[in-house]
Amino acid sequence: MAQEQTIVTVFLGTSAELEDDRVLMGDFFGELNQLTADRGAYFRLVRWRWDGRNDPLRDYDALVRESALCVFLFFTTGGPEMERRFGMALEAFRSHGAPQIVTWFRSLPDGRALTAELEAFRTRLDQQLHHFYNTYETIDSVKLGLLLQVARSMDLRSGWQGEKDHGQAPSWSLGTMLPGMPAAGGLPLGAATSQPAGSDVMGLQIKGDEVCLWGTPVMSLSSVPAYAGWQRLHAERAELDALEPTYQRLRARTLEDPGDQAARDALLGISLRREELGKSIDLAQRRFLEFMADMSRRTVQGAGELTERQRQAYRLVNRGMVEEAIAILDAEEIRRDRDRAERDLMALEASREAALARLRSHVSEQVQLAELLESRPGEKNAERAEALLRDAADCERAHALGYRAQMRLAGLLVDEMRLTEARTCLLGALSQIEPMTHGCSDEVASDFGSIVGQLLEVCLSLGDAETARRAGESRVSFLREERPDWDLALAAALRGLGRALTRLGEYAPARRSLTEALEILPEKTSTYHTSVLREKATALESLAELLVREGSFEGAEHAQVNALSLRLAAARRKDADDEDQVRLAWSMTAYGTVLFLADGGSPRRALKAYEANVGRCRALAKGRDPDRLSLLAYTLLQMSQARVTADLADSALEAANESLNIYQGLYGLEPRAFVGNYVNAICVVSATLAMGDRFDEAESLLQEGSGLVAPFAEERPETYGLFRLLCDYALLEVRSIRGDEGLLEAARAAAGEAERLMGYLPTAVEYLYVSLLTELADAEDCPEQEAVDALARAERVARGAVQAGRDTLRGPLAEALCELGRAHAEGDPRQAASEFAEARDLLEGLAADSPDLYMGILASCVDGLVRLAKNEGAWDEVLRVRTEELRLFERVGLGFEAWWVTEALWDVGEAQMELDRLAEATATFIDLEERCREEGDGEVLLACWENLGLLCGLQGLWREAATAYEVALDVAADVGADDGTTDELRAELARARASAEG
Amino acid sequence: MPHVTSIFLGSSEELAADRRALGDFMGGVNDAYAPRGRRFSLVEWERESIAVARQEGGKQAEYNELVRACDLCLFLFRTRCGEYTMQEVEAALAERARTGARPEVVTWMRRPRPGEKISPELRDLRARIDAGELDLPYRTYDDLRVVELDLLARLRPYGADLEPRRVGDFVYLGDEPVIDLG
Repeated sequence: MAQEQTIVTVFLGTSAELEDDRVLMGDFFGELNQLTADRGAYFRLVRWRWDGRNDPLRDYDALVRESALCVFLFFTTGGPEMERRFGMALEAFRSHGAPQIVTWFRSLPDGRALTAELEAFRTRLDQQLHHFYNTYETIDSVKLGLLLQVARSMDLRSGWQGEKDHGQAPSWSLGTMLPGMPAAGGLPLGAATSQPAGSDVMGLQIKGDEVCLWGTPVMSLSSVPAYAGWQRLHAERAELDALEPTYQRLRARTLEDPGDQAARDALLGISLRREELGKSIDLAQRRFLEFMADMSRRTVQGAGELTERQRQAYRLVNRGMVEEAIAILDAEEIRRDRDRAERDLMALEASREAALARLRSHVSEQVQLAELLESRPGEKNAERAEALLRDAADCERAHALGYRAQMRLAGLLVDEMRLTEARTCLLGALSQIEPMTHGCSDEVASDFGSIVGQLLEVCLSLGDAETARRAGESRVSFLREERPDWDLALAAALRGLGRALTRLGEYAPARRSLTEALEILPEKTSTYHTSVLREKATALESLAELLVREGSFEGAEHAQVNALSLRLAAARRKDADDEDQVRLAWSMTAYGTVLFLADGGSPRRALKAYEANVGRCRALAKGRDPDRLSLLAYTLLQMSQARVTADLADSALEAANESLNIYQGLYGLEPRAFVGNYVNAICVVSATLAMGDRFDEAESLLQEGSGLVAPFAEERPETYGLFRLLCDYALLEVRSIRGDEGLLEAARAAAGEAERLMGYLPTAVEYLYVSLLTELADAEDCPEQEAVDALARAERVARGAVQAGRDTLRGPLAEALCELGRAHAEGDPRQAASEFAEARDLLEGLAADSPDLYMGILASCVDGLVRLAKNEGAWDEVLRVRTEELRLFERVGLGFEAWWVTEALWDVGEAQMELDRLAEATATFIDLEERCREEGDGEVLLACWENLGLLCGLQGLWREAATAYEVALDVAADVGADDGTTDELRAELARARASAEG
Repeated sequence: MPHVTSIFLGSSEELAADRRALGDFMGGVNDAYAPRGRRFSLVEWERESIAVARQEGGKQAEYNELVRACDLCLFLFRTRCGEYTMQEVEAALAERARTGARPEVVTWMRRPRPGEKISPELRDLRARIDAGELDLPYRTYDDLRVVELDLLARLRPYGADLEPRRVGDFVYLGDEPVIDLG
C-alpha cells in the first residue's frame, strides 16, 4: 500500500528569456523529489512564463494562492501580468503566511539592462513592499537557496502547507525525519553551534564541493559565487592539498623504515596539522551552510526587518563578495544607529514610567478613599468601598502597578468568606510582590508574609492543599533567607506549611514542620506578648489536627488541651480582642471533637464540651459575620453528631437542623468552602430522621446532598470524596433499615468508592469503609463468598486501626467478627467460636458505655456462641456465657429487650438440667415462670411448668410434680395448646399422681 | 511508499542540455503521477557519479550495478561514445540477455549538426549494431520532444496508466501539461 504523501506546490514564474534556467529548475526539483518523496514530501513544480507560452487550461491565479512557495526569476523584462501575480502572492503571504516568496534577479552581462518597467518594479520591491530580492550569476545559487528552503521547510509544520493525497490533513512532521535538526521550528541557526562540528545542518552537508541532502549529493557548489567567496574554507583546503604530497611521502618513509625517527616526528607534526585542518574545514563548511540557511530564512520571512545595509551585504555575499559585505556592515555606523535606537527606547520607557507612577498614585488614592469609607457606618459606604477597591485592584493588575490594592481587596473578600475571589486577588498580589522580595524592606517582607499566609488559609478552606503547600514553602524559605530573626513569623509560616502538609496526607513532614514551629515558640508564654500565645495555640491546634488524622487521639487530646488553655489565657489578657473569644470558641469545639475520638466514639465528655460552648458560639454569631456563623454551625453539627451517638434523637435533630440552615446560607456564599460541612449536616439530620422512622424524608435529603457534593468529589476526591461517601453510606443505611431490597449494587459501589478514598485519607475513611463492607456482606442477595471476603477485609482494616490505637474502630471490628463467626458457624465452628468470643469481649466494654448501640450486636454474638456450644453439647459453656450475659444486662440496665433475658434464663435452666444441677434448674425455672407470668408470655410459661414438673419428678418430689402438671394443663388451656400437648400433660400428671400415691 | 520505476539515462557530456530537458520533462510526468502513488525515477550518470566516485576502484562496477537495477535504459548519443557509456550499454544488454526482458533498452542518436564529426568510437558502435553484433536498434532525433513522446508510450507497461491527450499545442497527462509541441 502506498504511503501517504504530502504534495507541496512550488510556483515558478520566469520570463521567456530564462528558458534554460526554467528547465534546470524543473530538472533540479525532479532530482530533489527522488530524495524527499521517499520521506513523504513531493514538490510539484508549476511553471509559468509571464511573457511566453503557458498551459491555456490552467488557473495560474489559483495555483499562486495555493502554492507553498513562489519563486520568481527575473532577467531583463517584467510585465503587468507578472506584477499582478506577484502582488497576489504577496497579499496571500501577508494575510496567512503562505506562499513564501523568493525573488531572484539574474546578473546582467555587460551591455544588457533592465527594462524601465522592471527597474521600477525592483525599486518598489525594495522600498515600498520591503520584499528582499537577491541576485544570481549561476542558477546554482538559486538552487542552493531553494535547497536550504526545502530542508528547512521539512522542519516547519506551519511553513509550507502541502495538500495531502486523499485530502487528509498531514499527520507527520517532516522535521522529525531530518537528522540533527531540532524539532521546534524557526530556531535560529546560530543555535546549531552547540552541535558537534561536522554534523549536518538540517540534513545538509558539504562533501568535496557537493551539497548532500541526507548523505546524497544534490548539487555542486563549484559555480556558486558565495561558496567561492568563503575564503577561509578555500585557504584551508589549499593548505591541506599542499600538505598532502609531503604527508604521503613521510608516510611511505615511515612504513619503509619504522626506525626513521626524523620521518616519524615530521609525520606526527603534519598529521596533527592535517587533522586540525580537516576539522576546521568541516566547521567552515558547516558555518557556510548555516549562514546561507539563515540568509534564506531571514530574507524570506523577516525581510521587513532587514536594514538596507543587511540587504546589500546579503546580495554581495551571493555574488561571492564577502569582503565587500563586511565593509558594508560598518561596525561604527551600526553602533551609532544602535545607540540612537537605544536612546529612543529610553525616552519611551521614561515616559511610560511617568504614566505608570501617575496610575499608581491614583490607585493609591482609591484605596485611601475606600479605607475612609469603611470607617463610616452603613451598607452603602461598605458597598462603595468595595467597588472602589475592586476598581483599584483591576487597574493595579492590568498595568502591573503593584500589589497593595489587590491585597487590600483580598482581605475584605476573606472577611466576607468570598474565598474564590480572594484567592484570585491574592495570586495577583503575589505575582507582583514576589519579584520584589529579594533584599526587600520590612514593609514588603511583612506584606509578603501576609499575602502568602492568607493565600494558604484561603486555599485550605477551598480544598486546594497543593497551592497552600506551595504558598507555605515559599513563605518559609523567604523568611529563612531574608528574615531569619523573625521568629514569630517563621513559626507561623511553619505552622501554615504543617497544616497544608497535613491536609495532603504528608504526615511526617507535617510533623517536622509543626514541631519546628513549636520549638521556635517559647515554652512558657505567660511573660510574652499575646500574639505569641495566639500563635502557639494555633500551632498546637494544628498539631492536634495532625494527630487526629494520624489516629493518635490521646496525643491530640493533650495538644488540644494545651491549646485551649492558651486560648483561655489569651482571652483573659488585657489586650484581648473579640477575635480571641472566637478563637477560644473554635478551640473548645475542636476540643470536643478530639474528646469524642479519644473516647472511642463515646459521646459523654464531648457532649459536655459542646454544650458548654454552644452558648458562647451563639452569642458570638449574632451578627452576619460568616466566620462566626460558621463557628456556630460547626459546633451545632458536632454536638448533634454526639447526640445521635448518645441516642438523643430529638435534641440532635434540633441542633442538626439549625446547623443545616446556617450551612445552607454559607454554601450559597462560598460553595467550595462549605459544601463538606453542609453535606455533613444533611447526613446528621437524615440520621436523626431515620431514628424516628422518617425514612422517606431522610432519603430525599440525602439524595440532595449526594447530588450537591458529587461534582466537587469528582474534581477533588481527596478533599470532597469523603462527604459524598458519607451521603452514600447514610443512604444505604436508611434503605437497609427501611427493609429495601436490591441494595447489593449500591453497597458494592459505595464500598468501592471507599476503597479508592482509602488511598487518600485512610484514617478518615476507614470507619466508613469497614461499615460499608459489613453492609455489603449483609445485603440480602450478596453471594456467600463475596460476603465472607468483604467481612474478612473489614476485619483486617478495623483490626489494624484498633491496634494503632484508633478505638472508634472497635465497634466495627466487633461487628465484622460477629458476622464472620456467623458465616463460619457451620463449616468451621472452632474459628467461629474464636470470632464470636473476641467480638463479645470487645462488645462488652462498648455496650457498657453505649448500650443502645452495641447491646444488640452483643446479644447476637452471644447467641452465636450459645448455639455453637449447644451443638457440641458443651452445657457448662452455655451456662457460663448466658450467666455472664445476664449479669451484663443487670449491670447496664438498658439497651436490651425483655425477651433476650427470657431466652438467656431458659438457656441457663436448660444447661443446669443437662448438667444435672436439678435444684438450681428448678430455681431458674421458677424465676423464669415468674417473669413470663408478668409479661404474659403463655408459651414459655407452659414450657416452664412442664420443665418444673419434669424436674420435681426427677428429684422424686411427685406431689410437687403433679401440682406442676396441673398448672401446666391450666396454662395449656389458656394458650389453646393442641390436643397432643394436653394429652401428654395429662399422662405425665397421671404418672406423677400414681408415683406420689405409690 | 510510492511505486517507483527506474529509468537509467546514459549519454555523453555533449548532451547535457538534453539530459536536463528530459529531467524537466520527467518532473512533469511525476507531477501527474504523484497523487496516484507512482513515480518514475531518472537515474543519471552525472547525478550518481558524485556518489559513486567516492568508491575508489569500484567506480564503473557501481555504474553497471545501477544500470542492472533499472527497469528501462535510455541511451542518447550525438557525436561521441565514451568508454564508460559503452560499458553501461554492455551491462544493460548483458542484464537483458540474462533476464530475457529487463531492462528494456532504448537508444536514440541525435542527428549531428552539419559539419560535426562523429567520433571513431561511435562509428564503431554503429557498425557493430548495423552488423547485428549488438542488439541495439536506434532511432535518430532532431527534436527531443520526439524522444519524450516515445517515452510516454514506453512507460505504459510500467503503470503509466494516464492516457496522454493533446489539447491545442500541449500534451497532457491528466491535468499536467508535459510537452509543449508549439
